[in-house]
Amino acid sequence: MKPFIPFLLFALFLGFACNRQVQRIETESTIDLSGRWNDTDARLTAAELVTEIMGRPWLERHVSKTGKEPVVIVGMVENKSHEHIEAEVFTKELEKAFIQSGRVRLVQGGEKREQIRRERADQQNNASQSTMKQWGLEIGADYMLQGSINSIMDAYKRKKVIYYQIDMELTNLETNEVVWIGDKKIKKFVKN
Amino acid sequence: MKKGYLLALLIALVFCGIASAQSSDQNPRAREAYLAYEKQVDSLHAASMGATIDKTYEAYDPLLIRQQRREERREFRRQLKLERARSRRFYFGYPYDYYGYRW
Repeated sequence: MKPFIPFLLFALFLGFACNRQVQRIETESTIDLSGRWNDTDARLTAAELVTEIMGRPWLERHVSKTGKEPVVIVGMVENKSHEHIEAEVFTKELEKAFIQSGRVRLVQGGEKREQIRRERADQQNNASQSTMKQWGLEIGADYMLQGSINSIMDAYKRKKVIYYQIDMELTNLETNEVVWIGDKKIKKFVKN
Repeated sequence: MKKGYLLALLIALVFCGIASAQSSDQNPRAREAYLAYEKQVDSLHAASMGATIDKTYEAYDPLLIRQQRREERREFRRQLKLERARSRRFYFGYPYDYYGYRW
């Protein structure tokens, strides 16, 4: 038995050494590892933009002019930064804020809209007449939300300063008038 | 006589159309503008909605460049070793060396 003890200990050591640890943490917690764009940046951006877009006069102006809530569609976001940044993380927050506030209506766009139209087309052949949905009754959007992400990086030896600017704008679809522009600026100092 | 009525009706309709367009301040060539863009509403348009379009650029990062160079050197040395191992095998299988002398 005695000669096996070192082997057993070695096996145990290997077992502990390779033990991967995973733990659930708060989604609101801030953990910066590489200094690149991360979930905290996306969250801060979303929070700022939601406050901005819901608290500006374009909304009241539209309601007082038309007597109806504005209808918004989300357009594209151009990522012109030096990193891959998925804008959907914060545009979804904006969409959620629109719906939850009940003051702005949202229409579906993109691939999801195409899928809905395909389903509606399918219903014309397969659904009963009383439940079949009709064509040509979609709500036309009043405004389109578009945006861009820009970044500037300055690096020297092991130090880096990264600046991100996220701009979102809301444009009237009929008149091309830009009714709201919101931005979020983030500056980071990274020392390797 | 009938043709005259029809012509008068047509002129009246056109006049009404122009008048209504002008009253709403709409450009009278709005239809042409629409026709120019009509064909652009395709699947590409749908794909761009709600999407992130990547137009990223490569930022100058000295650390990253150094790391890339290091990896390139490592890869080069690895390839060199492999090539040497391969040519050694070739020489061992062949009875003559480079200068024609028998081993």
